[in-house]
Amino acid sequence: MILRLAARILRRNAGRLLITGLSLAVGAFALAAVLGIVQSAERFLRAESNVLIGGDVSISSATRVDADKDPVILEALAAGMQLAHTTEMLVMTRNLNAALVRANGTNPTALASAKIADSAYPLYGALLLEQAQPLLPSAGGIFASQLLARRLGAAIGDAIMVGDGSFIVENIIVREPDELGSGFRLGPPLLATEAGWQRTGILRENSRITNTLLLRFPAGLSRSAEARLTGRIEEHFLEDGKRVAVATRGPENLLRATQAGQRFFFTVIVLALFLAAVNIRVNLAYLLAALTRTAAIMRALGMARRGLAVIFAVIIAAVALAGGALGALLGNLGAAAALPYVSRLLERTLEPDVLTANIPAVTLFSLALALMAGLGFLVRISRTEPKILLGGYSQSAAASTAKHELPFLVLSLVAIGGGVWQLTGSATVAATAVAVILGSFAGIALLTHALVKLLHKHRAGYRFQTRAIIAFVHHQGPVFTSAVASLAIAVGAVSTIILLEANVLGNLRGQFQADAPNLYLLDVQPDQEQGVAEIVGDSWRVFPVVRGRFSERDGVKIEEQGAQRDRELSREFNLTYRAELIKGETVTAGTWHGTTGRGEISVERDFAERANIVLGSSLTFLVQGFPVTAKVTSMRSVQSSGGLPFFFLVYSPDVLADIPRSAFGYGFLPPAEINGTISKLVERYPNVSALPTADIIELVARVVTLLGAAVAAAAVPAFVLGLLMIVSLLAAAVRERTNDMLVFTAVGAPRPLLFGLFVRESLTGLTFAAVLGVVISHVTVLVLNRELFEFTQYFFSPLVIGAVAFLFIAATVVAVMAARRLSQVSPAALLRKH
Amino acid sequence: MDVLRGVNLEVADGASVAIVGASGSGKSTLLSVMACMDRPDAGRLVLNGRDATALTESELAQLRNRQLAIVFQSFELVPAFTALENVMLPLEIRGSAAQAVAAEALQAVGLSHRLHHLPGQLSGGEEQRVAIARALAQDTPILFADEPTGNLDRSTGGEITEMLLRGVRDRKKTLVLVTHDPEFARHADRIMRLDNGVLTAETSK
Repeated sequence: MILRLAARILRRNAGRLLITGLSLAVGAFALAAVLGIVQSAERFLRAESNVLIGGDVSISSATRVDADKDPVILEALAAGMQLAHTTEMLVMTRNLNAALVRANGTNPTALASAKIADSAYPLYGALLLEQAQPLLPSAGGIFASQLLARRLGAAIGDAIMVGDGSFIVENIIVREPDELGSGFRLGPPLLATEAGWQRTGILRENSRITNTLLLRFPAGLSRSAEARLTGRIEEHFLEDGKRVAVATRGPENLLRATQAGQRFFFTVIVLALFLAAVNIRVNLAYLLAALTRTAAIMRALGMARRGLAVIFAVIIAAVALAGGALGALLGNLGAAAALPYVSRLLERTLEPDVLTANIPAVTLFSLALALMAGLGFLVRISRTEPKILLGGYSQSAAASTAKHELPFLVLSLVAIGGGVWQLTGSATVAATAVAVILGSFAGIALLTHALVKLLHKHRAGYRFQTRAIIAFVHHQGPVFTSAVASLAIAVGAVSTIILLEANVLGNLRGQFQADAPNLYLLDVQPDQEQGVAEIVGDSWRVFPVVRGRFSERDGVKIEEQGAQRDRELSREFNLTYRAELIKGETVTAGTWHGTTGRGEISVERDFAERANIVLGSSLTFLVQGFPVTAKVTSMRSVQSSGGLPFFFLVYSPDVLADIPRSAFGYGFLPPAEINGTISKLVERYPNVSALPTADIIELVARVVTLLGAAVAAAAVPAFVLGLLMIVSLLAAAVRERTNDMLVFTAVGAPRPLLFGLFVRESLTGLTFAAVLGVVISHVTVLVLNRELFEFTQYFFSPLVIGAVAFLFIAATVVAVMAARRLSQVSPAALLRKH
Repeated sequence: MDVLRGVNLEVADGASVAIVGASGSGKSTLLSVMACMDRPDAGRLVLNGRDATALTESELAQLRNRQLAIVFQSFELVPAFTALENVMLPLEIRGSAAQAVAAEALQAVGLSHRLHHLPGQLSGGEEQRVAIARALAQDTPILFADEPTGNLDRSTGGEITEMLLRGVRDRKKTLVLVTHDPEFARHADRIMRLDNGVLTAETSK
C-alpha cells in the first residue's frame, strides 16, 4: 500500500521532483567523475610504480653509491638483485650544423636534462624510440628527446656538442619509461652512456648532479624476503642521508601531486554537494506547500504519522536513487571521456574499465544526502494535522521558519564533510571546506534576511511595483534567503576560481618585470666566475651554492623526529652563504649575521615554521657526506619579486666558504643579445647551464593554464547547480505567484504590469546573489593573494562579468517564458475553484 | 457542450440581481462572462453602453479595474500583502492615491485595527470583510459577488451579507450576486434561476 501510494504521488508530482532529481544527479556526477579520474590515476601509478621509479628500489643522492663496496648492495646482489645506475644533470647542448649557423647567425643551443645510464638501464619498461634500433646509445652517440631535437633543429645523424664532446644523434626518444617518476625537469631529456660522457668534461666536483642506483628483485623472491631486503636498504641509506624510493609505496612525488589534486577537487565537490542539498531543500519546501492538503486528507482518512513519513521517504529515496545512479553513471562516462586528457598529461594510457566500481557508493551517498536534506520536510509533512481541512484553521504548516532551515543545513554539511573525509582521508580538508561553506552561507543568509526585513519595514515609501516585489520576497521567508545564499556561493565559487587563475598568471608574469633578470646560469664553477662576468656584463650577480641534506636538528636526527617521510625535510637543499641581505629580504627575528657572524645561519620564516625550527636551533646538514652544523640566529621574510633567487637557508660565510661549491647567477641582457650570449658561454664553459627567463615563464604558464582548465572543469558542477537553483526558484515563483497574478488580473492589472512584476521579482534574488557572490570572490582572492601567495598585485578578469552575465541571460530567458505564461492566465480560474 | 444557452439578462443602473441555481448549472461561467474574465463563444455583453465582447485584452483589464469589482467565495487576497495593501491594490493599479481611501474602506467594514495584518493572520470572516472593502474602495459602478458567504458560518455570513448590501445600497451600485443561499438572494431586487445553462426569472420586487 505504501509503495502504491508513494508511486501515485510521485507520478502526479513528477515535475516538481524533477529538479530535485537533477540536482542530485549533478552532485553525483561531479563526485563520480572526480573519484573515477583520481582512482584511475592512483591505480595506474601504483600498478606502474616500478616502471615510474625505474626499479623496485631506487637510491638517490648527489654522491654515487659504490656498488662494489657497499655491504648492503653486496648483500642485495647476492640475493640476485639486478642493478642499474643513472646520473642526471642539466647540460647545455649545441647543434654544430653549419647551415643552421648561417641561417640563425649562431649555433642553436638548448638546455637539456641529461641522463647518463649504464647498459642495464632500464630495469623496467622500455624506451619508446622513433626508430627500432639502436636500443641504447653507443659511446659516441646520444638519444635526444623530440622536444630537444626540435629546439636544436637536429635530426638523427646530426652532430651535437655537449660540453667538450661531440655526439651523434643516434635515435629520438618519444618517451622514457621513468620520466614521470623523475619529477619536474627544466630541460627536455637526453640519454647518453657512461662510456661516452667522460668526453664532455662537464662533470666537476661541485656539479649539480643526481646519482641514482636502481635495484630490481629477482623473479621468484618471496614477499617477506623482498620486505626484509627493502628494510635493510632503507635503514642503511637513509641514515647516510640518501633518498630512497620503494615501488610498493608508489612513486611518492606523483602520488603526492595526485593527492593534492584530489584534495582540491574534493573541496570543490563539497561545495557542489552542498548546493545540491540546498536545491533539494528549496524544492522540497515547495513540494511541502503543494502536498500539505494531500497529507491532511490522508491523515483525516486514518493514515498514521509514521506511515505518512515513510511514504514521503520512499518518494525522496526513489528520486535520490534515480538521480544519484544517473549522475554516477554519467560521471563515470565523463571520467572516461576525460581520461584521454589526463593520459596526455601523464603521457600514459589510463584504463577506464574499472571506473564503474564507484557507482554503488556514489548512489548510496546521494541517497543519504537527499534523506538528510529532506529530513525536515519529512518531519513537517508527517506532522500535518487533518484539522487544517476544516474552516477556521490556517495552513501555516507549510510556512518555513529559520528554525526549520538550520538543522537541515548543519546535518547536510556534517554528512557531506564526513563523506569527503572518508574519501580523502583528510579531516582538515573536510572540516575547512565545511566551515568555510557554512560560514559563508550563514553570513549571506543573515545579510539577505536583514536587508529584506529592512526594505519590508520601509516599503511604504516605494512605488507600487517595488513594494509588491519586496512583499513577495519577504513572504517567502527563509526559503528565499537560503536560495539567495546558495546562489551567491555558487557565483562566488565560480568567480573565485576565475580570479585565482588570473591572479596567479598575472603576478607570475608581473614578477618578471622589465628590469628583472632574464637569464639564469647554473653550475658556474669558482674559476669560471670571472670569465662569466666578462661575457654577461655589469648586470651579472653570483650566489655560491652548496648542496646538502638535512641531517639533525638540535643534535637529534630528523628521522627520529618523525620527519622520515617529510619531503620538506628529506630532500636536498641549495645552501648559500653571504654577508649581506639582498633586495626583498627582511629580517623578522633575531640578528643578521653580517660580516662578523661565525657559525650562523639565517632561515626563511615560513620554512622555519614548517620544519619546526626556532631561533637558537642547531641545524646539521650533510654536505658531500660531511656534517656541517650552524646555529639559527635570524629569521627572514623573502618577498619573491623581480625574479631574484630565493634561498631558505643562508649561512655566514665562514661556515661554507672552504667547501667546494658551484655558483648560481643571474643577469639582465637586452633580449636580442640573449641567444648570442648563451652561445658564447656554452662554447667557453660547456658545463654551465643557461636558462632564459622567457622559457621559465612559458613553462610555468603552460602548467598554470593546464591546471586552470582542470580547475575550471571542477567549477562546472557549481555553475550548473547555480543554474538549476535559478530554474527551481523560478518554477517555485510561478507556482507561488499564479494565484496572486489571477487576483491582480481580476482587479484590472494589465498584462504588461504582470509580466514586468514577475520578471523583476524573479531577477531580484539573482541580482542580490550575484553582487554578493562577486564581492565575496574579490575579497577571498585579495586575502589569498596577501596571506597565502604573497602576491603584490591584484588582477581582475572580465570572465567574471561573462559568467555572471550568462547566468543573468539564462535567468531572464526562463523568467520571461514563465512571465508570458503567467500573464496570460484567465482570472476566470478564480471562479472555477469550487 | 453548451454551458450557457440563450442567456438574456439586463440589469439596470443601481439595481441588484441574484442568480441562483444548483451546483453545475453554469453560475460561475455566467459570472465570469459578466465580469469580463471570460469571453462568450456567441452573443454580446454590453456594459454601460459599451460592447465588452469587442474589446481588446488591455481594454478589458481597464474595464475590470474601473467599471467592475468582484468579491470571491475564497476571498482571494494576496497572501504577501497586508489588509491595507490588499485594499489599495486596484487603486494602485489605476494609479490613484490609495492609502487614505483604503483605510477608510477598512474602517467601514470594522477592520481599522487590522490594517497591517496579513491574510494568514485574519479569520475567514475578516478576510472576506477585507475583500468587500477592496471591492468598495475600488468604487466601480458594478459589483459582482460570487457566493461571498459560501466559506463562512451562518452567523458570520449574515454579517457579511449585511455589510455587502449596505455598502452597495449606500453607494448606489449595481449588484450581481451569485448564491445558493435563498436568504441572501431575497435581498436582491430580482432573483434569476439558472438551470442547465438556461436563465429564467424567479421573482422580482
